[in-house]
Amino acid sequence: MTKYIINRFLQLVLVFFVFLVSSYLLFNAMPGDAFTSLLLNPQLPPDAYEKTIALYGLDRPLSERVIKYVQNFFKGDFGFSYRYYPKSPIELIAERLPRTLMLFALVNIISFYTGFLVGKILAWRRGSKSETWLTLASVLSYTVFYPWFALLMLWFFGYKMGWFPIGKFLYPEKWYDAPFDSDVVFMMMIKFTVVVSIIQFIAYLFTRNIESLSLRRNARLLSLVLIFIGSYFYWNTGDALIKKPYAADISFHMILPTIVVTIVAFAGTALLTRTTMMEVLKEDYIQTARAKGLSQKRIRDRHAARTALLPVVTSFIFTIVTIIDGSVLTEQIFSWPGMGQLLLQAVLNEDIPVAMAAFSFVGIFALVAHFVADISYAYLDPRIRIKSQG
Amino acid sequence: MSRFKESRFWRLTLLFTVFALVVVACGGSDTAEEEVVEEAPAETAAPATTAAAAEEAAPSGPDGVFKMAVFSDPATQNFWNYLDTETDVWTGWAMTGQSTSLYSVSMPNYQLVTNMAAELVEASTDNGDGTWSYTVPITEGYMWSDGTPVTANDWVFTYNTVKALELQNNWMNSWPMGSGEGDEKVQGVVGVVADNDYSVTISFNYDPGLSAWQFGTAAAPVLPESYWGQYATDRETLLAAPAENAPVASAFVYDKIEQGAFYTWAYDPNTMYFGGDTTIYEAGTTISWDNGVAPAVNESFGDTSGEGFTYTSGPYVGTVEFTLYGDQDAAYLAFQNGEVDFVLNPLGVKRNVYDQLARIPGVELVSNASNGMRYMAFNMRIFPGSDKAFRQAVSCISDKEFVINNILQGVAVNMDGQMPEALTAWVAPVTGVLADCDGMSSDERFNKSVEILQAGGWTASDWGSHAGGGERAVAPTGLKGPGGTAVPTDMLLYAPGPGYDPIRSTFSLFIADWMQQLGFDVIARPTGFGVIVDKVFAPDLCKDWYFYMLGWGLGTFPDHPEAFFHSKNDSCEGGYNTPGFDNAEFDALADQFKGAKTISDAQSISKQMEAILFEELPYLVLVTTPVLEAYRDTISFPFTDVLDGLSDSGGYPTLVKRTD
Repeated sequence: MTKYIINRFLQLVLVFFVFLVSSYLLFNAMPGDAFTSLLLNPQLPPDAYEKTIALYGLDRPLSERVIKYVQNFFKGDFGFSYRYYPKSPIELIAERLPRTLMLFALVNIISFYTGFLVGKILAWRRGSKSETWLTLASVLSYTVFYPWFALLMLWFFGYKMGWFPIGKFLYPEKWYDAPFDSDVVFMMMIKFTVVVSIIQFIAYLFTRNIESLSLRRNARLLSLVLIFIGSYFYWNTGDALIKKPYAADISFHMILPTIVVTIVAFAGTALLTRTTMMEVLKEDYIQTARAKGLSQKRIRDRHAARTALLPVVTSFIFTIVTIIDGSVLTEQIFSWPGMGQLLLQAVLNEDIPVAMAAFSFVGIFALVAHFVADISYAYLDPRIRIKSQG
Repeated sequence: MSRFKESRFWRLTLLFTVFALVVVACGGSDTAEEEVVEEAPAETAAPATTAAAAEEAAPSGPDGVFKMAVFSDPATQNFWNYLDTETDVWTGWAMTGQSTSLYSVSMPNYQLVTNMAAELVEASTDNGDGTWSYTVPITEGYMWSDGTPVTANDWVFTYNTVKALELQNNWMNSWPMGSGEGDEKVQGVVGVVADNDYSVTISFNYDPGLSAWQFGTAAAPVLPESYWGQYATDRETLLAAPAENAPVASAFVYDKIEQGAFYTWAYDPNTMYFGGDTTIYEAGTTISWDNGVAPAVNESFGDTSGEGFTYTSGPYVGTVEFTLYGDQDAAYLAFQNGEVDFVLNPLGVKRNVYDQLARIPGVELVSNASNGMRYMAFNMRIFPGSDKAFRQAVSCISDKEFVINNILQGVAVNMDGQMPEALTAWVAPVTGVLADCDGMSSDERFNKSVEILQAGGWTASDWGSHAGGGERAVAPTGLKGPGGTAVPTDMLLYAPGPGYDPIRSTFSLFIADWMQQLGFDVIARPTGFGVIVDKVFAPDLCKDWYFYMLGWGLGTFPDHPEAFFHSKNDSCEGGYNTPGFDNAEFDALADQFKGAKTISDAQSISKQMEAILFEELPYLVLVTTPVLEAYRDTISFPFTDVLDGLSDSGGYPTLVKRTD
């Protein structure tokens, strides 16, 4: 396993260098000579001119510029934003990241669970009417033209029904007197979500081996009640009490984008789970389990679904990248100012330092996600480990 | 056991529901929110403003919120940074009245009026040493919002800062730095001196006219030394300096700034900048202002004869809110929903959305002429763009009215000259081939264009023909320029693609086709806006293109023909004269224009310049588009007929009234 991990890590390092170099070359090949666009301004002061040339090595051959870029990257020096001068790209990313993390982490988890559960039901109820309708609905949501669908939902639920806000992540009038900015609230919400998730996961681990279904269910419900009570006290005391109305405002604005993205995103997981689980259900050990007289629910959840989970988890880890790039379309349509919008605006405004920094950040996250996927896959599937050991 | 109890799906659904509700359902009442906020002043991380604090002490300012939608964050709140680096329109709208000036213009008639100056000084003094000076008295009694007086030292400080720190871009337009002698001479300001606290003398190394003085340096932004002096050590420090608490010379100060979401201005209850009547005439303005706090003004500017209308300045709202939306669709949906009163949009609302808004109750529609133009440029440095007959023939055969009325369904307005139609006193009568070919049918245009080419010394083995009606012409063959010059093939006409601008894209297809019907191998090439700009403005590429289409947004004072066509501004040398137009007569008139001291002189010279352009046609001016806008009837503006629309001045926050 260790050898496998080392191998994968070395591959990751290699891919990362290839990514850095190729991303530089891609930006360098952009029409309009993006790197030197700043220098085209004849009124650029000499010191800023020199600084820009020195930072990007613009007076050097391409090979040297690439090396310079890689060096700057590891020094964390992306220069300064052309548009938000003199802010650095890292400052801008730090400002936008919490907003994207909060929305898309939640969306990914919900869509994964929804997809997995729907997929499981689809496979288990093969041939039934519900399977037909659910498959049809899944395929429809998987293939729908997303911008049209998102705008339609925004129009219907936001404008026509008036149930949800039309874009944005807050009601400005509620924040006029806020003694902090929204990022502070976002960070608190992220911490809260992480803690609750960990507690819930621990509760799951502790209860998963309880044989009695009713006992296990009650234990999990108890953990939920405890989380709920704990959350109630958390949000009604101290610092959280001050931030509660603002967190509530943000949460309210998250509902519609979360629903819309979940509707579109769950189908991929559902269809993958369905396919995988249908294969698993043909396996001999499932027949054995049935022959042993185990309950249908136990066979489905503990024998079939667990095995089917393997490729689905891998697929899920890959989709985690969208937590960072924030789905440019979603952020644009719902006026959610996160990483996706930052990246889009940077490219549109030829703010190359910001675009490259955001792009690199997404790249790193994607590579790490793949690395984690590889490791977890090996951990979950012994055949991978055995193969890697030769 | 029920299905519910058996279903893990429902349990997990319950889990997430509870999870979401934990955050959402715990939200307390508004009353509780306010109490909590007050209990935690130590948490304050957002910028506090003097106005916000003062408003609590003296809640006597106007009530109500004027809500506007924007599509982009301001890149900065720092006025120095705005004019130096972040010169985009969104950032401009975010600027509170951090700066002031000697002169200003009244809206909507763009009449020159005094601002801080006690009078309009229009005559310069020749110092006899190659410099000319304007000495302007400053009205005593004006204050910045922090209580420091506005004095001549602020002009000296601003000029010295721009000069010493080498500030760029729009600072250079307002405060051009003069230097050198003889051929090396760069025209501009060479000195700003405070004669006393309320008199400033500004010197130039030439005798400037209207565009450089009245509408240039006299209208240049000035900022308070009392606040900015501490940051004016180097360029980076100054541009990065905090501006949230910077003193202003207006009724609003920054209040809440939430990056990516919204920002607000709050009424400053201690302001002296409120009230006053402005009477607008066709060519003049009367200002009558005596609010008991600021210095009283009762002056007339320009021709105040005839009928006029009067409006009283506010502010009439206590807060101005700018809310950010990701795109136009979301912004106008929010507008329809009543979430915002007005959408700030430099391009105006799209025609289909405008028609849709017309059917919604409570929405008022506005259509104004835009202060800009879209054009096709010929590269006059290379053949065939260098040939006048060619440019005239192409201009004649291009039936703009056909494209506008039959293809674009009237969404654009034909434009022949350089001046927007709304500037009636500046518009010259159309002459030359544009006048000759106006109203002609397609076959008449073809025949006339062929005549122009023949008269210009062009030859062809067969001059082709046009059957009339909707038929395409049979193109001339064996076409050769004067002296037998071979015509290049595969000539590209660069224009923005239909996604960026369908109007220019459509025109490019039609004009390329008409040129093909005249026998020229021209292809319309849809190209990214940035790519065209980089190609045609790069000095080293100035001979690498034949034709392109772009547009210009124009300034308050219509001095753009000088910038676009004076030979000294050739884009090969880094200027805006992309066609490479080089005409001694025009240059002489342009120099006279720059030195003109009165509006009537400037208009007369401008018309002579335009006549040359109609003859030479370095640009084929295409169209302008009306600026379409809409606002909720919950607000009202004192006027809505204004060149470039209501957005151009940021939605007039100090004039708008709530009607609900």
